Amino acid sequence: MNISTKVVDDVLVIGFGEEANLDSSNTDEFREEIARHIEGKNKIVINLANVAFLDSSGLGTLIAIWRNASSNSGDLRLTGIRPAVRTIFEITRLHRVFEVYETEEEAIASFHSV
Amino acid sequence: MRVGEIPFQSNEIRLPSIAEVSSSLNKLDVDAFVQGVRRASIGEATELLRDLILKEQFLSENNSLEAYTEKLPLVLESLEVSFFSEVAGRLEATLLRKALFGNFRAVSDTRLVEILESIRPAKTAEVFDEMVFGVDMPKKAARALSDMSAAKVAMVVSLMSDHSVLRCFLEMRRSAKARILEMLDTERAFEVCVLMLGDRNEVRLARVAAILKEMEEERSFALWSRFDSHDWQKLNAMKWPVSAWDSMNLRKAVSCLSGMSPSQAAEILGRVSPERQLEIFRHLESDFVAEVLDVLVSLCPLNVKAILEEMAVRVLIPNSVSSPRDEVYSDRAPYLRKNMGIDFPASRKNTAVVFSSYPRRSGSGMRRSKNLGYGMKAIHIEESLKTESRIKHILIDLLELDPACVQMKCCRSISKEDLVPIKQIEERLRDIGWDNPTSKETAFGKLGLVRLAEVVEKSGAIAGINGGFYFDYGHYRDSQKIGLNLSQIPGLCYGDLIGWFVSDGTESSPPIVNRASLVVTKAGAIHIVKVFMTEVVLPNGNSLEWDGINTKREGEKTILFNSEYGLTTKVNDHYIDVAISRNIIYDIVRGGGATIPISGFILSLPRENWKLLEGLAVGNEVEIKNNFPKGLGEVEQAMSCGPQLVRDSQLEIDFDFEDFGEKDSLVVPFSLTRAVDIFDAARSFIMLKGEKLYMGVVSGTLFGSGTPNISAGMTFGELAQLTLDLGAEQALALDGGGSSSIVARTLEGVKVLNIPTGGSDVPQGRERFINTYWLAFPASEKVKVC
Repeated sequence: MNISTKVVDDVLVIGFGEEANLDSSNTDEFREEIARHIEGKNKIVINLANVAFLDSSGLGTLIAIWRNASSNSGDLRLTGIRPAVRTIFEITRLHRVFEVYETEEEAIASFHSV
Repeated sequence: MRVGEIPFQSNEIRLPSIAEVSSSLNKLDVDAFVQGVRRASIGEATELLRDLILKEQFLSENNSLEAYTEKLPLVLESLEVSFFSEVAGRLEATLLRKALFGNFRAVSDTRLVEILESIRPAKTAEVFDEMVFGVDMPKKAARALSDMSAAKVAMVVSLMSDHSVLRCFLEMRRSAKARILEMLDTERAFEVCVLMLGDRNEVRLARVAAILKEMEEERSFALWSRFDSHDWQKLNAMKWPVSAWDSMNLRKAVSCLSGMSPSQAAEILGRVSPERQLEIFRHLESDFVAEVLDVLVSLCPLNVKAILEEMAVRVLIPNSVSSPRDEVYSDRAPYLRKNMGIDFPASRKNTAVVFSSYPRRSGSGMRRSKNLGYGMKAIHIEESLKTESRIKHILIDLLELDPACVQMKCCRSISKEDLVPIKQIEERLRDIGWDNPTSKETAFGKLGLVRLAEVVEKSGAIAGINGGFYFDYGHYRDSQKIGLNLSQIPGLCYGDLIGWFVSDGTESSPPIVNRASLVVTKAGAIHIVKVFMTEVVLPNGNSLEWDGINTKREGEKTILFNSEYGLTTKVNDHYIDVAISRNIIYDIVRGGGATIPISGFILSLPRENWKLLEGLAVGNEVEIKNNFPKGLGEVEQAMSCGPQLVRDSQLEIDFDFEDFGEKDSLVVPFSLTRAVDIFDAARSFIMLKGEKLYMGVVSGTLFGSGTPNISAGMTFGELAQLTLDLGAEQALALDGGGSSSIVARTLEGVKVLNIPTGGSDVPQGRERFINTYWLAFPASEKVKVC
């Protein structure tokens, strides 16, 4: 899984270097890789622009990251959501859980808007 | 003849608007309508009733049918049963279900049973088959089945689908199940037993064995003989010595066990039936349950496995991407397993006995948050929620608080000393200008109520949310509408709290009803727990406990009566009624028949126990003890409200266990609109997730005086789902509707975050005056008087 990370100010930004699905076939790998990057970070943006599809295990991983960040007084914010992924978000009402932004810049800036 | 002038089922291209349908229904004269139906042919009468049902359904689906303004229940109460049964035979089962069970204003139990018994059994079975899903309907179906004559029930049950029989049985008492099995033919009765057994875990075996043992011998024997030898042996082995714990009042059992060590409790529970174990475990605190199960698992592992499976049975709201049948949001069992620290095989196939067919409530929207300082975060969600019939626009406002950074305090604006006797309320309101539109808005302020934003501003609090129920002028007026004159109830005051209230360690209202409460201990721990009275200690040193609540008096049993029972107890020479309100004995009546204090209760003792009352006099103060587990700490702040929405990450709405009566019943202050799935309103709630406390309000502007479509509000079912979506481990509803208000101190000043509903006294967008509320103060600062 080709995952890219960068830190802008104190925000960790995670992206996918190539088109990917987040499903039961690779969520363990995703989870393990992410775990290394997010250690000590509580402000996280995940850019899902290259994620074509995610299933319930993919959602579970995002929720786990969100829970971890929010329990450390941080948050997980998302950007780049494609229509297919948006549909899954609608079915599961995840708009109640995640802050979703149009662009990566907006998502990063949202952490500093107060 | 049609309802009003607007044809609903016509071929016109233009559909009637909500306003037109609403107006035509408002104009409907029920007596004239009933006369018209009586004069019509059966075919015409069917069309007239179908039209009325569709119109009320249309308004209900569009959130535009105001509670208790429906005409259908009144029509059903007036029409002759034999006539209606013919009409009912021609109506579709879904419409019949709506007519009989889907109203805010419940059709009386007697009339309902008359109607159901007069309809063809196949049609009644169809109606019950339509009631398998959701929270309200299965309970209503089970109650109706329990009330119907055994012969009719047998006919109906033999025609019902397996799932609906199973779902109804889940909601029924054992004796009712035994009675129904007795009446069914052996083939069907056996089928039902097999359904109940499912995959034959210990609890299900115990449940079926107990029913078989309660049945009349001959019928029971016929059933026993149908089981193969393996099942027969297992069922027959389900014997346990009947102990006092099996027959004990549930609340008493829960209370006693809570006070024990886990090993003591496990030792006792190991000797009661698995069915009873399950019943008790459902109501004990989770951490304690986990500790007890830890001990029990070494004694009887099969029982523990079965209990954990059954803990997850009542799963009703889907939250699934793939299939609403298989997936649930989360169960209590995994929560317990997690706390037990033992690894059970995660078997999901056993958990979802009850399937949900709620259409998926998908939605879209936007969440934004903002840090407000003091570890507090404001979260605003704007969403469009898709329900079966429409898209609801909803605004949700939450405050996330870190209990380590804030100090919670519960407050009441009308102190115990300033309560206004209800008989004086009309006069007081006249004096302060209730009738004058210009002074109406502030009239309640003059009675001692407050607006939350003003309190937050003055007290130095950083946030606040409205609190629990109290006896207000609305209750008084509602009671007049149904012919009750509550000014005659001794001891009843405007501003009386309905439930537990402790502020700064001082209890000013005991938990006269069993309701979920938010509790803050002296050590700062926060809990959501159902708290009820367990014991009354008299000034003569004697202690009174009770064997039942609102049940029939018999033998040497002491019974507690509260307003859920009615206005008075029954006259009975063998009993002495002791009426207690606000910890004061205000009446002792020999021979029963005492008026039940709405703000209190009656203990009815057998005359033989009169010595317990020796030396007592009216005006004496009593001490009331409750079940709040001592192990959780000393109570500093507590306020009850309810219903509890979520317990251990699982849906939990149980109006009966929390002593809520149906609104518009005689039980005025105990009542609320219990409909879980049909009634939208503004909702306030508090939830716990991890280390965080959340206070939230769903704005609901329908019944206020402004624009209804700003935010549609939510049903209790949707609210429970919302809190689960937000990750709640525990959640409870606070007073809703016009009282809903959430306030935060921001950089721009103190702000009301939600859009208040408004009402008859205040316009939409303006806060209503309230009596009870929670305030959050910075933990480091001294809490100012509020």
